[in-house]
Amino acid sequence: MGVLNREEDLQSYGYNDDGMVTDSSELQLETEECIRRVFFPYTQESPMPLPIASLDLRKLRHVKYVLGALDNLASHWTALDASKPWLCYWILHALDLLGYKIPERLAVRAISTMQHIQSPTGGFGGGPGQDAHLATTYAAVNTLAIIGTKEAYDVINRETLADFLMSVKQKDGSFTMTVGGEVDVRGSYCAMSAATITNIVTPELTTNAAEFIARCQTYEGGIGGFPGVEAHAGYTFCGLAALELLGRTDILNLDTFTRWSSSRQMSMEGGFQGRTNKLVDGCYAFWTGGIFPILGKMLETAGQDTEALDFVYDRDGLQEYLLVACQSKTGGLRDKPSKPVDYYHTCYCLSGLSLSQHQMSFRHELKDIAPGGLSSLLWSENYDKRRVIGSPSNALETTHPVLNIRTDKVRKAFLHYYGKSAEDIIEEVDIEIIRS
Amino acid sequence: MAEQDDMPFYQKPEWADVVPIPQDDGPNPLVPIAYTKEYSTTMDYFRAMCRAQEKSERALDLTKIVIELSPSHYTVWYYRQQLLKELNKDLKEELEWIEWMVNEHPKSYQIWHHRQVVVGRIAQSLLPHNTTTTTTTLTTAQSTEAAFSFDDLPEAQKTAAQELVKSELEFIAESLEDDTKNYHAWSYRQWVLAHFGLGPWWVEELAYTEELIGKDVRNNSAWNQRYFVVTNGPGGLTEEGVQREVQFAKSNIEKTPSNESPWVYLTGVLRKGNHSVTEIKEFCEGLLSVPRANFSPFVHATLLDIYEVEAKEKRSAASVEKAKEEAIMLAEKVDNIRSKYWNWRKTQLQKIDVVA
Repeated sequence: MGVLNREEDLQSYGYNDDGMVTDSSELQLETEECIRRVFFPYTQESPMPLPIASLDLRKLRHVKYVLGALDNLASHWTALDASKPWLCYWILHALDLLGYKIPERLAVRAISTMQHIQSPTGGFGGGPGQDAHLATTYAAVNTLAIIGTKEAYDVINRETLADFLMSVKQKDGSFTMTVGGEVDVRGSYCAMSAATITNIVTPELTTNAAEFIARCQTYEGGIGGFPGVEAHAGYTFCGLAALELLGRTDILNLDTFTRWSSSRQMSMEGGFQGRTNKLVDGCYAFWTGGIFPILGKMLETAGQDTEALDFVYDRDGLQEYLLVACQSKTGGLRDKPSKPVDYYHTCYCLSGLSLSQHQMSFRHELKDIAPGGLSSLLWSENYDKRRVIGSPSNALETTHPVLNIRTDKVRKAFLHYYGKSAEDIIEEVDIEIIRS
Repeated sequence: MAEQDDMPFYQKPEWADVVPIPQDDGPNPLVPIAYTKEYSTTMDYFRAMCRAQEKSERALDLTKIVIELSPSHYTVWYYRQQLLKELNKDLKEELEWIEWMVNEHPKSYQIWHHRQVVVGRIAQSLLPHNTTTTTTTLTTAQSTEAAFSFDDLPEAQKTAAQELVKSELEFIAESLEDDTKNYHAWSYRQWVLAHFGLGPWWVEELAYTEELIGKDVRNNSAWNQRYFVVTNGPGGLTEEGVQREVQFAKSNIEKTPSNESPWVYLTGVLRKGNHSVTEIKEFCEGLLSVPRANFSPFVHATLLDIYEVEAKEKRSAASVEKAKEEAIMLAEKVDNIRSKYWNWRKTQLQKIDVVA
């Protein structure tokens, strides 16, 4: 389908303000104006439309952009002094998706950096000597899994990590982000992701966890940060992914959830918004776009015909938005053309792009041999549903729809942390892939 | 205590006994930040305070310096919270400072959480000595079980608590004026209401949501807040409440039929009140003859839902047909970005068991 090559002019797909202007509609129309300008060269309205096939993901420029952060960040980056694992993850994951092989010397530095950040009482903080925090723990574990060597895995002290996770776990099933910190649904995802990868999930850790997340589903169908708070794509992805890791996605109202999720795609822009009546943003390509593979699994489990489902959203539209509006000519990706690039948006625009290009689906037929955390190994690509917009070289590596690290890195990590059971499952999955 | 001189605190005699602890990143770390000398030295002293877990005025002052240099440094916030408690500081003064910080950094998790901690403590101090407030766990089911109980409070404390709630709600409303959808502000607002529970604020809050919706009918955060109020206030969502809210949503839909917020609110309230969406069939069909409204995707989407329910209840092939028409209208004309979703809904319709 797509958004660049439609029957009518772009304008006609824009927001209808019903003749009643408010701040929200003004902002939306402003944004559409800006997007229309960058889309124009590719549309039928242009005197000589550029072919969509010419859309090019400037991989090398993005590689250079992220590499630049690894060695030297200027002093204004002090604002992210409590987010070093995040910076490492955003950059290394972007490199992974772009197919750039992480050199040994970088791996060594990543390992040492994380080692010095790990808290003696367990988990990882934002930098050396800082208290552990669930978000930075998530990012650190992912970073080490991306490095993917025994040395990297061995950095993580699993015993103290388990202690840390239990220290922030609340009786109502929620998690505080740090000891004494705020509760919200991100915590559930960060805890479950780190625990799943390192194979330390216990019944104590998961008690009531699903129930808390379910209480965060709002009347709109999406999930908010805390019960009662507005449905928001970031928290929705976190809640959904956590439920998937808990094996409890059935606890959600599937109809309203599906409706809300598909309603987040913007008619004119093709990208996703994070909340009703708010603006498109490239990072939601992952937070919202990332809902659909897991949602697909839920719909299949509820008896939907797999053939009829091809992600209940317009994949082409999303990719076109990312390729045309979110790439900076000098490298890096962004929220929208009026915003500057940053590493966070680079990571999530690329993650969303990858999930849109490759249809990641779940091997239901093998679920009985892969209980608990091991079920993460059952995600694989449906090659016949691959869809790469623009130049074929735009294809990114595949990312895991729940853990958001490259699928081969997930396999490696699981082989390390789960041993033979992981080995067996991977073999079965590969057999199934060849068969289908 | 604000010093006017340019001398950094660590050069002053009262800090001479402290041995600063340098940051240990290890050799050649990734993402090294070129800290200013002021920042890195301040942090070296902070690390020393933290390591010793020193509970003193100078430690408290230092936390403020660190925070103002790096507001998202959550470790220092926690340490400050512990110091405020240990040193039994005046939390009212703290609130003023937080107000200033929030204006500077309205999207900081740490600052809003700090306010919540401080207000929680002020409230706690008003209670008789042996009570402990349980953590707020607001259920979406019935009415709130407040963590803070006004029962049996002496008049002075009761008034102080009410004043506290009032001033918090005012503070948040002011912050929302700059950004009417600030997620942190709304989350904190819900915490205040839930924590202090049933009270006069629910009526005012309902009026507040009406005011915000009046200013921008597309402010989905205000609509969400309205849902929060009507479902968590005294008595929860009553039948009278359902009717009132249905009317409120309908009147806003009539103003802006292509605005998603009142639509999803309307169907949400009906569902919560155990009413069928078919009850608004006449309303939706009526909108089809209003030129402005008949291309609204939400009119057609809601009709699709309605005809689908009818089809299931009456096992009616005619209803299935009407539902299908809506799905096609949506997929092909009025909402084609979502054509996959609407086509999927159409395939669901085939599965309905009908008598011809």
